[in-house]
Order: sequence, then structure tokens, then C-alpha cells
Amino acid sequence: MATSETVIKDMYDVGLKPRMIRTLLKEDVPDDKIPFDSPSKLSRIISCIQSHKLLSEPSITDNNKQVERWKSSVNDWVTRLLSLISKTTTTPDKCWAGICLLGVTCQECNADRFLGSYAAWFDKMLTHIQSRGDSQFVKVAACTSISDLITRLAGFPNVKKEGTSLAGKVIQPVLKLLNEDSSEAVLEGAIHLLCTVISSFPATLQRHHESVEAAITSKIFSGKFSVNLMKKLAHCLALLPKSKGDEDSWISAMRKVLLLVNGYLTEIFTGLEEETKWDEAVRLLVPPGEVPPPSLWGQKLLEDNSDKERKRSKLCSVSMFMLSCCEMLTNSYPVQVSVPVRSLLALVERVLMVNGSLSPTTSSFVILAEQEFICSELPVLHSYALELLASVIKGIRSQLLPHAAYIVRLVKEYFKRCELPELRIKVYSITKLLLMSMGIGIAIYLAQEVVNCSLHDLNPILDGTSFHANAKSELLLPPFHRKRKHGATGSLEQLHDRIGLEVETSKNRPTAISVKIAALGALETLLTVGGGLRSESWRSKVDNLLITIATESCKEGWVSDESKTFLPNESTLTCSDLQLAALHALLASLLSPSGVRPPHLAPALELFRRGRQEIGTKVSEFCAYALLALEVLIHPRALPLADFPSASSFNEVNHRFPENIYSVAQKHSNPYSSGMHDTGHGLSDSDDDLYKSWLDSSKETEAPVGKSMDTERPSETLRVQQGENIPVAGSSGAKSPRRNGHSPAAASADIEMRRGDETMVDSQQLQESMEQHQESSKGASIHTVTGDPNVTTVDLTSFASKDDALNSRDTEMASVQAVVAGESDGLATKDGNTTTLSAQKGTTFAIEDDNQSTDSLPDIVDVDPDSD
Amino acid sequence: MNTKMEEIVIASSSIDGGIGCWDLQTGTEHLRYKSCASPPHGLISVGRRFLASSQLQDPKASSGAILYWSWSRPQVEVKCFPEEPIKPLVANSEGTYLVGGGLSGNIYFWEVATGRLLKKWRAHYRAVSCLVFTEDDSLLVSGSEDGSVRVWPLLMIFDDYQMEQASQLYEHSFQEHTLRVTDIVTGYGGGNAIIISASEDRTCKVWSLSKGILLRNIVFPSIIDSVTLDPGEHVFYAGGRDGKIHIAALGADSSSIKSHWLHIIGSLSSHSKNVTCLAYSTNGNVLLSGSEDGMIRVWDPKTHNIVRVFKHAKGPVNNIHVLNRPAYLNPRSLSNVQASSRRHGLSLPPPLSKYINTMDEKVVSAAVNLQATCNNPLDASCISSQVINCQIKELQQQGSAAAAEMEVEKLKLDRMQSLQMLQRWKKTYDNLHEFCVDELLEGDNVKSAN
Repeated sequence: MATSETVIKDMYDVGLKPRMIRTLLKEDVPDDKIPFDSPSKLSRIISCIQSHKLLSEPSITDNNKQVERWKSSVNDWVTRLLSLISKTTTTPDKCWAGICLLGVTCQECNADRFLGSYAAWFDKMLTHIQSRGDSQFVKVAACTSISDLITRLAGFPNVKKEGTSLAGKVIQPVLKLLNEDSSEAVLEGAIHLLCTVISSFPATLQRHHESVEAAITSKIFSGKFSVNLMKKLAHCLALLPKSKGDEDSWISAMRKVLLLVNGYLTEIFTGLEEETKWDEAVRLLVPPGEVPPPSLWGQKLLEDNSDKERKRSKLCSVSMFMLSCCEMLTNSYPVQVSVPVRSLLALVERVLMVNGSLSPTTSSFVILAEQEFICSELPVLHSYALELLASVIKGIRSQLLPHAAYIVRLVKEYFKRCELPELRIKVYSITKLLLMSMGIGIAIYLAQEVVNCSLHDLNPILDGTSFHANAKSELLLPPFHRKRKHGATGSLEQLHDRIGLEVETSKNRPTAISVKIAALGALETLLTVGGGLRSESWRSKVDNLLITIATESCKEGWVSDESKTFLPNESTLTCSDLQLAALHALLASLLSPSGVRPPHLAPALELFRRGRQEIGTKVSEFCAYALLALEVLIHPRALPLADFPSASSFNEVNHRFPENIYSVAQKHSNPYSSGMHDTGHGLSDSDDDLYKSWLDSSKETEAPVGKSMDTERPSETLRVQQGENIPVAGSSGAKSPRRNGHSPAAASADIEMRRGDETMVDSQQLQESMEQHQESSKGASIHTVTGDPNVTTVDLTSFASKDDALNSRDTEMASVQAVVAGESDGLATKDGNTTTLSAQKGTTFAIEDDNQSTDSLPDIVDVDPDSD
Repeated sequence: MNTKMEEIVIASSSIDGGIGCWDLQTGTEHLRYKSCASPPHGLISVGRRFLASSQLQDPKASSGAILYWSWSRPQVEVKCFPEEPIKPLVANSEGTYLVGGGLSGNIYFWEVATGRLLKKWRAHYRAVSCLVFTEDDSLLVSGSEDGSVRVWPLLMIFDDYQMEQASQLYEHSFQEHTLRVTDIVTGYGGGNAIIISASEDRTCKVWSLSKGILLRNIVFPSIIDSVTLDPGEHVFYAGGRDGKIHIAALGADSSSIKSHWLHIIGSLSSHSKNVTCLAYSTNGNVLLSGSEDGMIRVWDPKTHNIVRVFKHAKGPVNNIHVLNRPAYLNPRSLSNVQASSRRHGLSLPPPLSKYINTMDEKVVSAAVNLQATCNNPLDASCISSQVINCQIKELQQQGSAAAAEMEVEKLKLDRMQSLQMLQRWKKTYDNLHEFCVDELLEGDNVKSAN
């Protein structure tokens, strides 16, 4: 006993906790005798309690002495706090400390204690809200502590009734605080308490709905508070309909707000827009046959002329009411409601289309000063309107469909007008939202716009900062000069030409980093959602741009985050954020599906590898992830989800049918076999020289054989193959004629060889791949090697890619083989000549297909049922 | 409690056998929803909130019928009568829209929450035979009796402005099938997905959504009525009228299998009659097939064995779906269902309207569920420590009026206490003084007396 009193095992010892509480009570927590000299003492007490969990005594009541001691010390703690709060003689600072600590106790103490004594604590604290003489600090502390108490209470499902009656007692005093001319801090506390009550016990407010609404709106109308407080008021107004929880109150609240905003805007925008807007808004909001109320919450909807101060406050309340709409759309609500989408969108359009220019129909009534005033305030209004648009998209989700086209047009239109960075960022984020919510369908619509705008914003040449951009990108992207020969649209020069034009037209000034980040984000989302469909026109442009930006931004090394520590505002975006955004977009560009292998894979991998070494930064984290994601590009795999027999026993199957060594369906492509390289080579777009050059450097086996023309060796190989007993023309049409030695077939093969006069079957690689296949049954293929990409060649693998554009390489290979195999299979019952025939057919087939006739496959395949 | 999501199977038939509903894991049958005779592709669960099915009509009927069942009651709860008989029916994954294909080739697009007919457009020359949404619900793929398969971007359908500009509404129109299209499935991968269509011309065709071209044509020994994809898109399963489920290669290696049929790498067989519908449960990794003999067989695709059989009806089963068990379909608390569904505001929506309402040709509002998807009270955060910190900061700076006010209050009380103290001292002093004076006077008196 005595030892446990004195000896503490370690910092986790239970015996330590009561002792710590007693020490706190003895030394730090103020009372009549202990002075409260420094407020920082309070924060020390709180952090001590929170980090050691001093108040969470276990509720089990075994006769453990230590637990008993802990309990009694918590009892002492609570008694001390209550005495601090209730004595009239305590100084206000001690009383304030007591209330604060009681609020923390509400969160920290165990459930039994809380349920046992919350009512008493509540009453004690409530007196301080009610009493007139208390200091503001005490009132604010009482509001927040009560709000925490209610929050905790709402977590217990079995005390709903008690909670409701308790929360009911709060309303009147809070209303009094709101209606009195309280200071901002007290108002904030009161509103917070009100919001907590509404979201925890909504039924409490039912009877006071009107008075609370009036109190809040009057504060919003007054417009003399800080933005922060105004936002809280708007939030509270948005929560109010929850107190009734039925559809009507939500709709009527929304309608009132929209009418008011539209009415105010009619006055504010006089002369800057057409005069029919108010009528339009009313038509959408008020059911036919009714008239809109002349005033709401004691404010006239339409006023003719008010002074500047009044207008300013009106503008402010318009913004706040729009914010309230946003909250209503995104907050949860217990029942289904019908959202007036049209009028919300009409309001957004109305605000966004006013740009400060005088409408042509206006007489010269509008004074210059008036216009200047509106223009100065417009960005704020636009920003809130965009916010509202974003909330509409978020709130109504898939139901947006009937309105999506309208929104797309609105966004496109606004993109053209919008120049302020802050607004541009918002538009980018809205496009992101749209793309995410409506998927591929909207990507078709929006792609061009997003690409154009982000090309404009990300253009490195416009930036004075990146001087090397031009040269660098030229260096980086040599293939695109040649690409033009093939008629591809995205030549770099064209890109530069275009950009050059824009340089002249746009005001030559560098784009802010935050806008660039937003543009990169939009591109990333576009690539994520709609990279594959109808993207030919912009894809290569974007891919080039992204690799350029990423290399540019990382060229000067990696910016560490440390400089951020001393920036006053956490949201300031720096170069490291730009790097991160560029890398994000780059990864999306590599992963997003397209017909060809990603052209910039090698430099991108290099970037990611370098980035990963910056341990401890976000960039490094992301680079590690990117490398993981890209691994699949390097080692393609198509593993079946179901453990499918033919796939799982793939190796075994190959051993059983050795003739199939050529029929390579590359299940697990092995990048280390030359066969894989060649397949990749055959498949990748033939004009993708960068990739080829990258590939060439890593491959030595091909070069020596490519030029030698030896007709004997392939047939030798094939004889070996024959020795292994091949019943079907297991590989290619071009090969089987030679095996059979029939002249017509040879002729056709000759034709083929003349056409691509350097075409040949690379027998060495055949053997090589054969060996590999027997070892690992991994990829190898029949392929033709060409020295010059411009020479037309019969290339089986590329034929495959045209025939079957399923992106998996394996499938393509498999399908070619299957076509040929199936065909000869079908004819196998007939005499020897048919074999030749089929082989010949195979050859012509291949040649035809080389001429881009994609229809040939179905034709050929249709032979099958006939011959069966 | 149950870590694995429980799955249920629903099935319906062309002859009125109701909608059967079983637990896939245990095999127990739940409610049987009454009076449903659905065409192929006519049964759906709308956002897992309720069941809907189009109904087979006698050919002379002028209007169609679509029925709703709530999960908790076997009776039909809502009856809708669209303009013409509807065969295929499909809903988007959120359950906000219902799309039906008409006998005339028209496609009808309803909003579920209000029942409004939002759009109707001419999609095919002959009856629409199947409808399916792509993965992200933004494209609709329809197949028709005339053999065509069309891909509709829904945005375009609702864009009146574009509709006037464009020559056609569809994104792709695939005409290669020569006979009625019987089933369509779409694969994974957004814009890069594949579409597989089956037709009475005994072929299945694989299409590329991004390129709009035919990727693969697979000829089957019999007519294929239904297809379903292996979740890894390694193979797809095709249920034929020969009673077999053929396995056709997509990503799988087909060359190693010796077969007379190109790309077909095997089959599951035991059905005596036509296989009419297929479904794949990704959770348990099993394949389900419905047959004309009224049975639903559950297959293990790995071993090709039947692991379970559900008996549905005498008539042919023509729709099967595998769903995660809806929260409201709980056998232990069936009595609470009504109360809970009322509380969640999930009573069934109004019936679908027949015609587009010309009064509001533009959709003015949208009925939206703003219900919280997760109602966790623990999310509510306590703020007192934050506020305290702010106040402490304010106090330390001593700049604000409120802080000053508190200082003043404190000083006032100090002053009061000091005053009291002063009073006390003064009193003590007076007492002492008096005492001393008394003492002195007494001394004097004594002296003088002496």
C-alpha cells in the first residue's frame, strides 16, 4: 500500500493518474487560495489531462484500490470545478477557467460519470449564459462548454428525451444573446451552440423556428460583422429547416433565400443586365397564379435606390445567402426534397454573366462611380456563384443529367471570360467535379475546352521564369518532328505556333502557381475519366505538355516543404505543390488508356525515380506510388479473378502440346526476353520513334540479324519443328508454305518478300524464344524484323494489333494464332493441298490486312461455320 | 457481425411464378413477390431500394405495364402503364433513373423519384431487346431486334441544342449483327471498356467502346441468349440454346485448347434445356445460370461443378440478378421493416407517367435525397479546447476589449478585497489604539492614585 503510493512503475502506471490529478489540484487549478496568475497555466492543465487521459477512470467496480483512488481524485476534481463556477466571490478569470475545464471534462470523463452528472453541470453553466453581469469570456466559454456537453449527450441513444428537454432550455437565453447587442465573440459562441442544438436535437427548435430565423437573418442583413461570423450565420440559417425536418420547410427556406437574392441583385445589377431577369427568376420560383411576397424577414425584395452603404450591406448579404444555399444543398436532410435546380442555375448564370459592362439597353442613368463600385465587388459575387454551382453539382449527383448540357455551356462560356486567378481556380475545380460526376459522357463534351484552357495556363513560354522551356521541349521530344509525316495532329511545332499566336493576344504575364496547379488537376481528372474515348485530337498535345511541365518543374531539384513553416497562411501554394501536381498529372497521362504505348515512359520513370529519393516529402511518397502503378505498364499482366483452369494450368498445357511453342499467348510477358521487346516493337505505333530509340538502346540481339537474308534457315527451323510433330499450321501463314515446299505458296511468299524486300523471319530469335518458352513458357513470338520503318512489311504482330485492339498484348497474339490455327483445323480433314490453300489464304489475309482492311477478320472467320 | 456482405439472388420467369429471392450463401428462400411475368431483361432492382419489372402483355394491349415491389411485401405496390409495352428495363446504379425499351423501337427515360418521363427518343427501327448502362452510368447501350447495337451518350440526349445540330444522337451504331440482339454486357474500364453483344445469328461480338470497332467475332454452335463477363475479363460465359454455357476467351489463352470453335475454350453443361440467363457473383466467385426448365444452377467456374440449385418455377427462368442484401430485407426484423422504411422516407415512388408533361417541358427541379450516407454521431467534434486556446491567446496579448474587461473585473474584485482588508486593518488598529490609550490612562490613574 505504502509502496504503491510512492513507487511508480512507469508513465503508464494507473497509480500515477490520481496522483497527477491531485498535484494539478494542489498546484495549478485555481481556487480561493491558489492564484490564477497566468492563462497559459490553463492550457498546460488541459494538455496534461488530454494526453494522459487523466479523467477516464475505468467504470468497472472491482475492489481495486488504485481505481478507487483514481475515482475519488476525479470526484475532487469535479467538486473543485463546480465550486469555482458557482461561487459568486470567485474572480471572473477563475470562473472562466472553471467553465473551460468543465467543458474539457465533458469530453474526457467516462460515460457513467457523464450520464450521472451532466444535468447538474448543465444547470451550473447555463446560469452564466443567462446572467447579465458576467464577462464576455465567461459567456463564450459557457456556450462552447454547453455545446460540447450536448454533442456528447447526442452520442448516447437512450437519453434522447432528456437531451431534448435539456437543449430546450438553451434556446431562450441564446436568442437573448443574439438579439442583444452582444460582441462578436459572444455571438459566435451563441451561434455555435445553436447549430449544435439543431444538429443534435432538431426537435427542440420546432416552436422557436420563426424567432430564431428572424434573429439570424436580421444579423445577416445588418452586414456589419466579420466574414467569419457571417459565414457561421449562413451555416446556421442553412441548418434551420432540419428543426422541422419535412420537405416543405426545406423548399420554402430555399425559395425565400432565392427570391431575396434575386430581388437584391435586381437593384444591384441595374443597368448592367437585361431588365427581364427578375421576372424570369419569379417565374421559376413562384408557382403560377401566385405573386411573390413584397418583403421577406422585414426586408423589401425590390427597392429602387439605396445609398452606397446599404448597397454594400446588400451585396454582403447576397453572398451570405448564396453560401447558405450551398450549405443547404450539401448538408444532409432527413427526407427527400425537390431542389429547384433551374432557378439555382439561372441565378448562377445571372451572376456570372454580369461582367461590369453596361448593357446596351441602359440609359445613361448609371453613374460612373456606381459602375466602379459594382466592378470592385463582382469577383466576390462570382466566386460565391461558382461555389453555388459546385454545390449544385455535388448535391444533386446523378440527377444533374437533364441539366448537364446547360452547365457545360455555362462553364465553357465563363472560361472564356474569366481571368482572375482565384475564379479560374474555381472554374477548374468545377470542371473536375463535372468530370467526376458524369464520367465519360461529359468528358466528350468538355475535353477540348479543358485542354485549350489548361494549355493556355500551363504554357511554359508565357512564363518568364522558365526560359529553357522551348529548347528543352525540343530536346525532349524529337519524335514529333517526324510524326508530322504521318499526319498526326499533335506536332510540337504546331503546338508552338498556336501558342505563339496566343502570346500575342493574351496579356503577356505569367500564370500564378495556384492556377497552374488547378489546371494540372483538371487535366489529371480529364485523363483519368476520359483518356480513352475520342481523345485522339488532344491526347498527344497533353502528353507532351505534361512531360515538359514535369521536367521543367523538377529541373532545378526538389523543393522541400520546410520553407512553408514560416509562411503565415497554410494554404499558400509553393513550387513543391506545383511539382506534386505536375507529377500527379504525368502519372495520369501515362496510365490513361490510349492506342499506343505511353511515349514518355522512360523520362517519366526517371523523374519518378529521382523524386522517390527525396525521403520524407510528399513528392517522394507520390513517386513511390507512381512507380508501383507504372510497374504494370512494364510487366503487363492479366490475371484472372476467377482461378480459371486454362489459365492456371497454362504452363502445363504448353508442355502437353509442344507444338504450341509458337502460339505464344504471352500470359506473363517477360521483359527480359527479346521476344517481348519485339512484340512491343511490333505493337507500338510505328511512328513512335522515341519509344523505338529507347527500346533499341536496350536491345542488341536484333541488329545483326535484321539485314541478313537467308531463306534456308527458317525452313531448317521449321523442320525441327516438324520433328516435334505438328499437326496444325501452328504458327503463321508465311511460314507454312516453305515447310510444304509447294510452289504457289512459295510464290505468294515471294510476293510478300518482294514487297518488303528486307523482310525476314528471324530464325535465331525463333530458336531463342523457343528455348525460353520451354523454360518458362513466357513470351516469344514470330515476328518480322525490318530495318527501315518506312518499308512496307508484312508484320504479323502489327496485323494482330489492327485486327484486335483489345489492349492486352497477349490477347492479340493469341487471336492471330487462333485464327490461323482454327482455319487449318477446319480444313485438316481434306487432302494435303488444302493445307497449302489455307496457308496461302493466311498469307493473302495478312497482306490484305496490312492494307488496313479491318473488315477482313470477320470475313475470314465466317469461313468457319461454312466449312464445318 | 457478418464480415462478408450477404448476397441474394432474385429471379423471375416469363410465366407468372413471381419473383424468387434466395440467400446465395445459405440457400434459404426469402419472400416470393407475387404476380410477375417478365420478359428477358425485364427485372431490375432500382438502386437496391425496390424491385421493378416490366410485364409481358398480350400483343393486343395498347399500353405496357411496369410493376414495383418493395422488399418487405409480396404484393405489387405500384403499377405503371407506359405508352406502349416495355420489354427491357434498366436503372442506373444510384437508382435515380429508369430506362425502358419499347416495342416500337423507342427508348423511354424516367426519373424514378417523381415518375416523370424525361425523354423519349427513337432508337431503333424495331423493338428494343436489351438495354445496359456503362460502368459510370453516362452511356447507355441498346440492342434491338433489327440487329443493331447503339451507344447513347445520355448528355447528348438531354442537350436540345446539340440535338438540333447533330445528325445523329448516338455515339456508335454497330450494324454487324444480322438477327435480333439477345444480350449485351459492358466491361470494366470507363471509356476503354469493351461491349459484348450476343445475337440470334449465333455470334457474339466484342466491340471497343473507345474506337467504335469490332474487336472479335465469335461464332457459337447455337444461338446465345445471354452473356456474362468473368470479373477479370479473362473469359466470358455465353448461355446457349443447346443447354450449354460456353466459355469464350477474351484475355485467356485460347490457342492451347483444341476446339472446332474459334475462341471457345470450354463449356459447362448439364442443362437439359436452354440456358436463358446468366449472372456472376463476384463475392462468392460463382456463376449462376437460369434455364428454361425453371431451375437456377450455381456453378463453380473453377471446377465446372454445380454447387447449388434453386428451383424457381415450372416455367422458364429468364432473369437472374445477384445483389447485396438490402438492409430492409432482414428476416429477423421483418416487422420493423415498415417502420424503418417510413423513417428513412423510403416508401415507394409514384408511378411512372405515360407522356412527357408539356407543361414543364424543361425540368425545373430534381427530387434529391440529401440523406447522410453515414450517420455517425462521433463525427461531431468538440471545440472547447480550441476556443480555450483562442481565448488564452487573446488574454496573453491583452489587446482585446473582452480581455481588458475581464482584467478590469478581476481588478475590481481585487480592489474590493483590498478595501475589506483595509477596513479590517483599520479596525484592528483602532482597537489597538483604544487598548493602548486605555492602558495608559489606567496607568496614569493608578499612579495618581498612588
